[in-house]
Amino acid sequence: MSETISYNNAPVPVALTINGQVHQIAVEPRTTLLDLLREHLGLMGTKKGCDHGQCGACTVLLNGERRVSCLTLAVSHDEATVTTVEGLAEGDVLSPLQQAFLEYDAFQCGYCTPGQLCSAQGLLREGHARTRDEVRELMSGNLCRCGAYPHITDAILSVLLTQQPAP
Amino acid sequence: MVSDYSSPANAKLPPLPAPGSPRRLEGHDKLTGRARYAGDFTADLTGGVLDAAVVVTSTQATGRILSIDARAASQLTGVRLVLTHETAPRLHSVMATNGAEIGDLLPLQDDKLHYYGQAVAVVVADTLATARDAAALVQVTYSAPEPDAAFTLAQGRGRAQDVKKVGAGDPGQVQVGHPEKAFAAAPHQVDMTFDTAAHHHNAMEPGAIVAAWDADGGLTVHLPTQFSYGDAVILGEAFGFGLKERLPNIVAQVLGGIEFHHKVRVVSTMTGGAFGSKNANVHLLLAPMAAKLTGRPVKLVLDRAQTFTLMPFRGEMHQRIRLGADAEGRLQAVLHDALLAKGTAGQFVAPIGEGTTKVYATPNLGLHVQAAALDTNAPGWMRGPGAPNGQFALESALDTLAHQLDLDPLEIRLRNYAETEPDTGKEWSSKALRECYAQGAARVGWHHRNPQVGSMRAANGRLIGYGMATAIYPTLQLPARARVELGADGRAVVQTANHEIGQGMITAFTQLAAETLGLPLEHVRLEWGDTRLPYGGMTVGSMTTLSGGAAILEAAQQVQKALLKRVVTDKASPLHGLAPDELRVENGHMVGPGGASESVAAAMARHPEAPIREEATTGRTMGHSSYGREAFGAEFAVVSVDPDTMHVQVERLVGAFAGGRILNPLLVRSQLMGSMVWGLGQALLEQSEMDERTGHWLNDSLGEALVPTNADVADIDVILVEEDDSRGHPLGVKGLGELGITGVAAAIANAIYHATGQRITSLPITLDKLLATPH
Repeated sequence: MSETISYNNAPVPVALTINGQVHQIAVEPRTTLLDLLREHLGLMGTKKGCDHGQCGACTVLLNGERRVSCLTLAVSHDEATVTTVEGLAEGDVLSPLQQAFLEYDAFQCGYCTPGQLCSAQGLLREGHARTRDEVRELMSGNLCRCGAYPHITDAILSVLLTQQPAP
Repeated sequence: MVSDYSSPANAKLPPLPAPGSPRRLEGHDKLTGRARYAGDFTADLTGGVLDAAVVVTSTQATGRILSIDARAASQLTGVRLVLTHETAPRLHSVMATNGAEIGDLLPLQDDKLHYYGQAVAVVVADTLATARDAAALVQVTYSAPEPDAAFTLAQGRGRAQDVKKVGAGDPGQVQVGHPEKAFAAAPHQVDMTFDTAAHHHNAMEPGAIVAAWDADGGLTVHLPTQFSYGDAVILGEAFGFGLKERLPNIVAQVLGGIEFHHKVRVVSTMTGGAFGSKNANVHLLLAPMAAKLTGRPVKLVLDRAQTFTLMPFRGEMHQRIRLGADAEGRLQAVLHDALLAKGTAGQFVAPIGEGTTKVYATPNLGLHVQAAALDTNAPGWMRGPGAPNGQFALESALDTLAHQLDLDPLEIRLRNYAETEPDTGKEWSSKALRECYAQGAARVGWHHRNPQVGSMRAANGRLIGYGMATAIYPTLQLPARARVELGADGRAVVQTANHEIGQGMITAFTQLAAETLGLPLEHVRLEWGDTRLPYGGMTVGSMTTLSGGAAILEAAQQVQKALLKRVVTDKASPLHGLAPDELRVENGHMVGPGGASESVAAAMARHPEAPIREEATTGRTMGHSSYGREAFGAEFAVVSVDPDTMHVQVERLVGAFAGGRILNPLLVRSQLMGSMVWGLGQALLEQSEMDERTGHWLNDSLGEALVPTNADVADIDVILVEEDDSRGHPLGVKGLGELGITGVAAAIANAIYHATGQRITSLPITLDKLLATPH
């Protein structure tokens, strides 16, 4: 058996505002934001597809920017604001993006959808995507095995164009 | 012809797909994070306790486990159990109707290794983090591996054996006429071989299961599965619940109306993608074994790498196609030889001859399927499951023949159009493939292309190519049962244990029941995915609507009949005295001649003690028909190829499909579109790479096992061609979930040939293959 490696895994306090609610919690330094959400807070909307930052299913908004929460250490983001899929709607009223996903049938099994939505919300905020090709390229960190991509792109474009009419 | 979306001027508001179709009824749950998949279970759903289980897998494919040292793992605070073959409960043998590995090999029963990545231990702890830590501390030592292991077809060719039955029982050996003789005598011949890589489903949701034993010794599991009853029977067999009568007999009983009263309950309400990978899985047994020993509910979720070995995949296939044709391109002989990989445990061999035996007319036909058992985990059902590979070979060979004879690839398919089912001579129940060819060709601009190979270039210098292929998938039906109850409030509950896997079953079934009952959609509620509900069959083979839909249709029709009989004999009803067949039910109202009407709710409210409840069983003959029943389509691809780097981009895919009656065009379009994305992935990206020395899937992650991303996927055009299949099925529907994948790889390969003159005969078509031959 190999030598024992010892490290300090004592829980560290972290304060996060998640979907508008402040959470004071102590987690081990190695705890990812994804595991904090799922394992510590029971917020199961954010999905684990690979745990390696390769599929995008765990994408959340961290201070408004899209991040794969499985590669984000929670303790590195004390005082940060996090929005997950549970925080996108206003009560029972879907956000324009969620509504567009429904109308354009931009999901099938629904497992990648929380990540697609958060990623798309981040994309809209970034303001880099103006065309269909740009949306496709900038949404390529979020895999969808059901192959709903053309509808995901349509849904995002519809919101993009409604918010900012094409020049 | 190539779409250009790179300029803002083209960024128009996208049109809504199928504007009149109901949207997914579970959509709000999926879009707000409320939808709970098995891996999302928390302790509040399992009585306040839910431990985490992590699997430890072997790092060697053959030989034996010499020892497992679990001391360090067991000493971590919070660890409850390290389950190994030495401590695991002994299981009884099970029958796996889908040919899955567990039918031959039960997990953790002995020290023998069968493949790399086999489950060798399960660690249970109070938290996921502790379970992972402990799993990493389990030390396994192995004997020397066996020297003659085979992990690829190239290594295992010597193990090839003829296969009598493929898939779910289709013949592996077919001979019509004298194919060898006719091929030898044919004036024009094509003789080609094709290789297609192994690849994995990689559903976004990995395998997951929650298992809880109750105080009475009953077992409840929640897991994504395509066959809840099948999994329940497997659990019942394995854990000695006395389910000795085995699945076929149990199915016969539950179809006869006997409740499935056994102490095993399987619930499967949300599935994060399946595509054939989710049922009779190894983890189905691992979690209940662990929970039995700890006496506490356990949640087990595979990590991504483990899904490569503890779940099935599409195995490697080698094929030879020989086509003999006359001077006009009419096929005189079609010969299809195939060698497929299988596992040493697991019986599945993909039905690969669907295309060669069903698509084109030929007087002489030969299919010869062999399989080689490799020292890997077992291949299994995966979207298609053999048809995309078979069609890649057949349609590439036919394209080659067309070019050899200077015939248009579309014309050669029309010249060989099968007016009757080629291998049986049966009349088709319906076949609108000609219209598919015509509409698809028109949409893609087939007749405006320059047919000369290598003749087309885009403004940016990229080579442009057009290719096409025929899509085919059998129309199947399995037994299913449904219960429909109309309550005192005039609302209906529909129950059937079929499964929502992203195909839209919840919406389609609710819609079908509402239409049949004449109720508004919001007055019907579906209950699904639970062995406490009537047997709903398997969610496989593109037959959910055919199987479950038929049962719902019949039960709902009986309910409506009983309702109308009730009102015409009910003196309090304004419809009293009318004949039932004078009434129609629309939008929750029964309407008679002369405007007499009553709402369903009002009629039912008068008899709160007597809801109307009917059950129906359909599909007992397994969809057996005197007609040939297949769904067909025509698929077209437009590719661009960089002449210097040979980078291929699919610019456009057009699929025209005839699928009988379409219940919900939105869902069907989405399913076909997704299926075409799968074809694109198979054509250009997907391959699971095997280490020939160790048997390890080398690229067992979503970073290295490529699947299509948004940027890879072209514009996809789905055309639904009108077709009446009312003599094939009571609903007139056909199976469409898999049809879309079957012709895409061939269409793309044929388009690449048209663009470049390079005929690539192995999948995926990667740069190295295109750069290997001078261009």
